[in-house]
Amino acid sequence: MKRLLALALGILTAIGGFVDIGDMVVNAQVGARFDLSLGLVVAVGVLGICVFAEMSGRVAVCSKRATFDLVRERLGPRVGLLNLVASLIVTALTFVAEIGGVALALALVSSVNDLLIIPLVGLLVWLVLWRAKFSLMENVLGLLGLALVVFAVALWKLGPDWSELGHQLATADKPADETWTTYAYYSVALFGAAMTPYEVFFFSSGGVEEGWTEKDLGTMRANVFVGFPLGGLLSLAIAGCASVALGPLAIDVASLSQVALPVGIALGKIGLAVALLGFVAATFGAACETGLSTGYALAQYFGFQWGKYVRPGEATRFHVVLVVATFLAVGVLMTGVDPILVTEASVVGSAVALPLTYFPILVVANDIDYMGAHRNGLLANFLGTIYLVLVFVAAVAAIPLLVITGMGA
Amino acid sequence: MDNRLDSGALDAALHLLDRQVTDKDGLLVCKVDDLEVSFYADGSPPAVTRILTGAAALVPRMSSRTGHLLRERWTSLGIQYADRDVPLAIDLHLVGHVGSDIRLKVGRDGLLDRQPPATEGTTLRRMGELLGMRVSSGHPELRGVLLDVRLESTADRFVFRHLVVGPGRPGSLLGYDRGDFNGPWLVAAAVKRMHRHVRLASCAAIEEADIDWDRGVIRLDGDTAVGPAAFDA
Repeated sequence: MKRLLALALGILTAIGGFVDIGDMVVNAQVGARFDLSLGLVVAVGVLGICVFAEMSGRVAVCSKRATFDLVRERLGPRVGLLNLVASLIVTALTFVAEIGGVALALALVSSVNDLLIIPLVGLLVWLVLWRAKFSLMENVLGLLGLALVVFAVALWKLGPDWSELGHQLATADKPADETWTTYAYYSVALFGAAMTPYEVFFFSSGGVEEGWTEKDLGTMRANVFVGFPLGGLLSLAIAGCASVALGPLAIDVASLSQVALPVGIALGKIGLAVALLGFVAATFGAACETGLSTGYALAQYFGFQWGKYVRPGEATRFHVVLVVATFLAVGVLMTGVDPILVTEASVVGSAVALPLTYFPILVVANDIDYMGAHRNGLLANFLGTIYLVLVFVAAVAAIPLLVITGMGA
Repeated sequence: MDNRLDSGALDAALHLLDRQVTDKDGLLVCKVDDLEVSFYADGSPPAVTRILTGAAALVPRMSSRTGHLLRERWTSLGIQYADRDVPLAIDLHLVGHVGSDIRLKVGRDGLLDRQPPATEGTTLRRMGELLGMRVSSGHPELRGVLLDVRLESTADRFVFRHLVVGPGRPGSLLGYDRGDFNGPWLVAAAVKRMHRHVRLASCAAIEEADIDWDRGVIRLDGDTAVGPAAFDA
């Protein structure tokens, strides 16, 4: 159990990246429309986030500098500010969406209108951010989020033609009734979701919060190489379920209840209950991840004390940021905006934030001043360079594709 | 981690600007938003004398080279405050360690106070104004802008030793000129190519009067000692 808990940071980080409220719906959408033909994109994204999360984690372990410190140190105040604004668009908008997502999941359970639940969820999230110990937060939410494994069980129970699924996955064969532009749009969206910048903000700052030292490099790597692939598998399982159960019915997935539908078909009430528990935990976990990341990014840009490793009284500005962010999120949601739409809009910020976040990590991970003996090896540099180019291409393509396809319609 | 103060040589933009300042207990204090540069009337070389921080230091660095426009706007937003344009300052004798952070020898409570005015015989300027200034010189190898300043640490100040001059923007060297860097091949090749004309110019003869602060030009004599910036150790 202790071994498993040591991996909670990686698991929670990955949940926020791969199966937050927006991704769950997009994964199911993609599964229903494209079957598993976009599965390779998820695999490519998993490897990419592993490469950079490991790098950022290593920098945090060796130098105690989290990712946004590096952004400002290497890009300077002006370009750093540009990245800060873009990253806040992604992170804070996702935070808004996740609070809405928790409310949507609870609304499925209770049948109470989600607008009534939102303020309560906001209060709960803030209490956790303010009061709960970092380790307690990551352990509880990371473990409960694993309830989403029920999608993998459901997929197995639905008894699909495995060789057919494997074929779709391996050949990346675009279904005939979809255009190449929508195919490209969803590729970029899935890749961007896998590599969202707040994952490295959260993971590297979490490493500092946990007080990792050079002794813990192994633990850090285990977090990366278990957490993110697991997140990728969960997202593939959701897509697979939707492909098998919803694809033939030509259902266009737009809500959380439709995402849960295949589990209901395969495993009945119990399965559905577990899936709902997973929804609540994953969205709540993602809310904590993005909320904290908002504070981390701001604090690390401006240099004030951050983190839950000190008492709230020693990091007062950081906690003020969290309060204000939560208030704003609840305020935005009370307008009745659809949280799922909010996460899709946050892609715009990713276009700027992705390259400006990963470039400084790659540079500093080679800097002997920070890293001492733990500088990047050949493999990390080789993969890092390839992914930097990929990230750049995705960033350039994201907004034109968004406009051309009308958000993938 | 190595202390840059022990080796004696450090770069203003690369090792100091935008770094995190921490106190003796490891708590976070602020960022190095800018550096105070003192010019001396007695002819001794200019030196970095204080760490500057706060909005009054950061805002001017956001705008174009000289930062005048944003600085004026920032002041005009609080025209009634006498200290609107005066940043907060930390004396260099409080700095104990320069590594991936700037570690102080004291606690952070009540630490930051406004930058004191210049004393007799000194003129105070900021590193943010100086970096990015165009270098005009009769020397054939010196072209481009001031990319960084190489400093030598002494007891209470970091004395100017060399100006790093070349085309491009301050910060774009990414530390590759230091020679102990084995970055990813693609980035290293691009930076080396971009900065193949970078030179180190001696600061021995530089005075405040050589610098046109309004137009952003540093005039260096044609007979300034110029050396190559080492890319490979």
